[in-house]
Amino acid sequence: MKKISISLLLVLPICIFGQIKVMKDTLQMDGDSVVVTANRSERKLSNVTVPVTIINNKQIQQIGALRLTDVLKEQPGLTMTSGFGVGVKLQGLSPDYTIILINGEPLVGRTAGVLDLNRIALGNIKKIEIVKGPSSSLYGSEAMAGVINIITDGSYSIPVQTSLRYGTYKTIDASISTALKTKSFFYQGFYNNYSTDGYSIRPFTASRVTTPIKRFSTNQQFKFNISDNTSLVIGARFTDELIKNEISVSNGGVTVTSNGEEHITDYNFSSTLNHRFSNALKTNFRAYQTNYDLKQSLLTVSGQPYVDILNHLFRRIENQTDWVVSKSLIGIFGAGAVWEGVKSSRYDSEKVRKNNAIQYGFTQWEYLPFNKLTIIGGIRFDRNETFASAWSPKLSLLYKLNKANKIKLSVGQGFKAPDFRQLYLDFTNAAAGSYSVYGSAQAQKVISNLNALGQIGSLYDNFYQLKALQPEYSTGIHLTWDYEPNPKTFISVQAFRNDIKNLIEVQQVGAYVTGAQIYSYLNIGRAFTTGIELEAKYQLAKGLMISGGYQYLKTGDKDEIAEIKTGTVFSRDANGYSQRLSLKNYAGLPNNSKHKVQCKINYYNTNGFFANLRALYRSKWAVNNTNGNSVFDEGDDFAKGYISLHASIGKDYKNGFGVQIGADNIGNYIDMLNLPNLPGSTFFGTIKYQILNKK
Amino acid sequence: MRKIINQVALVLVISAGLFACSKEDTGVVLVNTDNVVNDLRADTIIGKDLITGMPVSAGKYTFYSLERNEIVANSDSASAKWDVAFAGTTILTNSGTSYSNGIGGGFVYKGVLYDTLSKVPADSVFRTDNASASPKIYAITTGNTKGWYNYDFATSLVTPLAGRVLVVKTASGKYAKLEILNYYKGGVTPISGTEEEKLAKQRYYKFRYKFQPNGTKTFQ
Repeated sequence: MKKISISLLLVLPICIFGQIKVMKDTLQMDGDSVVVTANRSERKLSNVTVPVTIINNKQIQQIGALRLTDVLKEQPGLTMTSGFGVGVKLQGLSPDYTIILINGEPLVGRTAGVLDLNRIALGNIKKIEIVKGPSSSLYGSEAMAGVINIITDGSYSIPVQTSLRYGTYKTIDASISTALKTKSFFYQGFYNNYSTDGYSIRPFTASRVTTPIKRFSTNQQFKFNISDNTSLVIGARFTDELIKNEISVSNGGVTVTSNGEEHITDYNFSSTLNHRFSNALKTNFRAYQTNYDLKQSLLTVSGQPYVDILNHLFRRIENQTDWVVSKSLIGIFGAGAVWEGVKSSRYDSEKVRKNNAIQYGFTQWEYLPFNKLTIIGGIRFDRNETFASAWSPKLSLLYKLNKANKIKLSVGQGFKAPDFRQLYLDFTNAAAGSYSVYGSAQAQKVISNLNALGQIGSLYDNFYQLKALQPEYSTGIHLTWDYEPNPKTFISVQAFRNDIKNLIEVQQVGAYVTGAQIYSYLNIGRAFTTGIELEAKYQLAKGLMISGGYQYLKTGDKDEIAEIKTGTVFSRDANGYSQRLSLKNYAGLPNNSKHKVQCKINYYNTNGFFANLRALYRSKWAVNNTNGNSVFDEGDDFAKGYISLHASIGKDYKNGFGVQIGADNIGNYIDMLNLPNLPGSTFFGTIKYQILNKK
Repeated sequence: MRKIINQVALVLVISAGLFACSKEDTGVVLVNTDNVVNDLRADTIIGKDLITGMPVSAGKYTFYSLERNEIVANSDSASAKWDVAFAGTTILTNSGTSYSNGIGGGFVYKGVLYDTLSKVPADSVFRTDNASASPKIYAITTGNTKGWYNYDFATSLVTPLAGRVLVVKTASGKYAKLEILNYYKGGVTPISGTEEEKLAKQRYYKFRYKFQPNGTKTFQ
């Protein structure tokens, strides 16, 4: 294993230092890119004080990405997770800690903290912005590791655009987008239908079974320019998804077949009123509602249907005002209120919605004392009805040493509110030993009632420590050096560290008379993630770019490290005999790879031809604890490191036609247990047609 | 240097133990040496309930004599011939109300290495079994992470916790130390096995132990 990472490290510098490029593309095409997520206000990328990655529409199309997953998995510092859909880990932090926004509005509907990125179709997307580091000072809960903001196109004027794609496993993706533009009115619509016969390489079944998926999604956007200074934007998004699961388990010649179905619908509806009082003062009012609805049903051969529902409703109103005080001072102010509620089969009653309300206010000040320096300070306060309130400060600065060198430093605190599951779960697993998990908001009451009925065998110390959950907090420091010696070369080196406290963890609080365990949630964990990220891009020739990314990541649970240091943690040697675990064999938090590498070559020319080849490497990561302790160490079960190769070529003709073919996971790498979302090699072909505006 | 020689000697003794306790050779009393017992069946899964789909076992303990390093017939369950008994993850000692009401007992010694456990502390409390209590109490504590094993809900695997030694008082009132090494057939945890394999291969104990015949609580 070590050999592989070393040899990759040797290859990497060739990608990076030999020659590089990527974002240059953006820069050359559109001039200096504009970022909205970093400051909640449009800023030039070159003036932003925090680490930001922009993935533009052209990059998305050229790699043939359909879903958000497809594009994020190729970004430095990001890792996809499997289980409850596909989630994203940012700098080693779990999917719960990254907020996903569409045009600045949050998506909801997380299962076990994971928001399935396959839900998001990448049709009419203008760009994706990724901000790394705690951003709660602007976005509140969940923006602890960072923010991913998907910005739909609000500009193009191609009346009709269609595309049809066919690929392995009968995967069909068809979309139509339309646009209409007059002086005072703008409309854009997008419809997408995706279906696949699926590939589910389930480990515990006798055969490879498929998971057919059907997804329909649509986005609609209307913009009215009421006057020169006032506009109204209305957006709507709807997704309907149907997943079929046929699970057959055979044992001793007896095969049991279960038919499962998962039906998910979610919609978002937003309206924004923008008004500009003067060049120095503008404001916007936003109203937003989203609803996520999941219904899972499983029919087994014995005929007992099992139905699981989850419904999350989220409503928000918000105002934000931007004030340019002077050339060197800009301020923003915002305030808003959220009402949200969840209904779930796994709470005490699936008919009663559990509610929470949040009120918040934030402000951020951008100060440019002189040309080379930008300092930004911001703070946000979130008041929550069902758990403790949170303050989120952040300070960042940008120093332009000279034309070629920039230094960015940011320090911020992020938080994640306890989610509904941690507050209200009421779940007993009859299939596995009848253990129960109770959310902390009612655990004491429920368990005390059970105790009065004589059903509780023992109560642990943890039970008496149950109290209102606090948010989880992280403090993040990011130091970035950007080096751009000439227009063809870009190198960025970033060091980061996130310290997390108050982590909410499942703990046993007692046991039933039968001995079955009772669990609840407590704020007890402390952890850290730290590492280095490297990004480099170089333009070899006109239209030919080579780029590379690398991440070194180290993670750990601070309490586990303290225990290992005191010598009370044991592991097993090759004979199975116990031995004391030393810190050098400690593997940190599970599902994190120490090394990740991306290398890409992109080519395009003025005739509309494009081609690209991408190689992604991820080193081994710990998955299961198997050697007799509760920490992850070198003796545990690791998933093997792997490389996947992806390629695509295509051509856009001047008459509006376009063709593209591509292959993913060319080496056919399969790891059934640890990478259930990675099918073997897949291929696709796309044709598209645009009705162009003739001017 | 001396330590190394001791360790080499120990390895030799252990390998001798490995050969000595192959099935043909049981019954040989190995005095105060390390014995390794492989694949001791402990109420292994014999089938599956066709209606509920739950695995089914015979519900029988396997009785074992640490003094003579051999399996004791079930017909002798109500005797002082056995010291420990295994069924699933439950381990009995010949004490309290377990089958024979013997004078044995034991406890799970946490945070200690088998090799360095040379003397059981004088103030150690030897627990006894109480099968009539509710929930049942055993000298060797049962339950996930509380006694000798960890059960992982994600993988459905049972792994013996490292750094835990079972200190056993035998039916004749003598002492032994015992470390569970594995719970699966062949001494290999089927990490990437199917659910069926995991069921079929579980409940096969691999453990090592040292029996002190002189009645003291020291192991040298």
